[in-house]
Amino acid sequence: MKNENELSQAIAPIKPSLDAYNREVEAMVTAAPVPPLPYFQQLVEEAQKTARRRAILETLLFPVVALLYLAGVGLLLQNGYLIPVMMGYAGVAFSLPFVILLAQPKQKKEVE
Amino acid sequence: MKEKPPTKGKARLFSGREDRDPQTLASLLQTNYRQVLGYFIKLTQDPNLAQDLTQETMVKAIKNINQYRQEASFATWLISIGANLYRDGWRRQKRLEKRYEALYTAEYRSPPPESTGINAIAIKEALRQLPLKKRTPLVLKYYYDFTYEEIAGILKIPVGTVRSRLHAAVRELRLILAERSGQHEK
Repeated sequence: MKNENELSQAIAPIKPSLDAYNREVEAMVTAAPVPPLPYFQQLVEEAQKTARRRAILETLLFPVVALLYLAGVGLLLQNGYLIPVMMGYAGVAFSLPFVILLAQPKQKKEVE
Repeated sequence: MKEKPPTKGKARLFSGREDRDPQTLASLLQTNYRQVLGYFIKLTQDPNLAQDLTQETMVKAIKNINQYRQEASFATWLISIGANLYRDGWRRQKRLEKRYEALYTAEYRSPPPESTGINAIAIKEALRQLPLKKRTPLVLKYYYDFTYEEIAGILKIPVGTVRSRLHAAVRELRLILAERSGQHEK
């Protein structure tokens, strides 16, 4: 089944069944009520509001986390932990390129 | 092969600032609601689940509206979101499918059995037996007339895989239906 014609030929025997099912679904869909426009407007507004709130939170959270991290490092240095801090930074600087190069992208599990 | 989601048309109303025009977006979502609902009913055979998935698709579409490139119709884009949403939530879907066994016999908005053709009943059961990874390309191909390349793009799989899955899906469907008709003859 290398092309679409061959696929159509293979489908031909089951076409009446597939079409009958399509008619049934279409009848159901036609009978199903479509929510009114205000419902969709509310959906849009709520989703956009949530997205905006999330974006603001992320923007604020980033400098907070960065400042906390720097404050932590500063505190360690102030207490005389220069060598451990240096070793930590050296370890990260050394291993980061390997982690980036060797890390395998996570494969999405296929649905059976 | 059936309806292709309407191309371009209304989607052309977008001009990159659609996130600031809830009215246009809401009207587009309403216009395409039935199209997406139909897709999910064909895929899941569960109207309640289809409605939930349609709503989730709409919300996801709103959140990702900036990623809509207008290369395809808005309906195609929505179906593509829906296909991936359903695939990604497959564990939940498996759980719901078990619940569906009970729902199937219940009186949801499905037409009464006497009004449903024997062909439709048989194909419904056959489709239900088909694994999702084969069912999805078949629904997209047969009912929405997407090309192999479009299906590959929607499902993020190679074109060759689409071909082989479609082939396998049709073969399996025919086999299931043949077995069923054989059982009926006995």
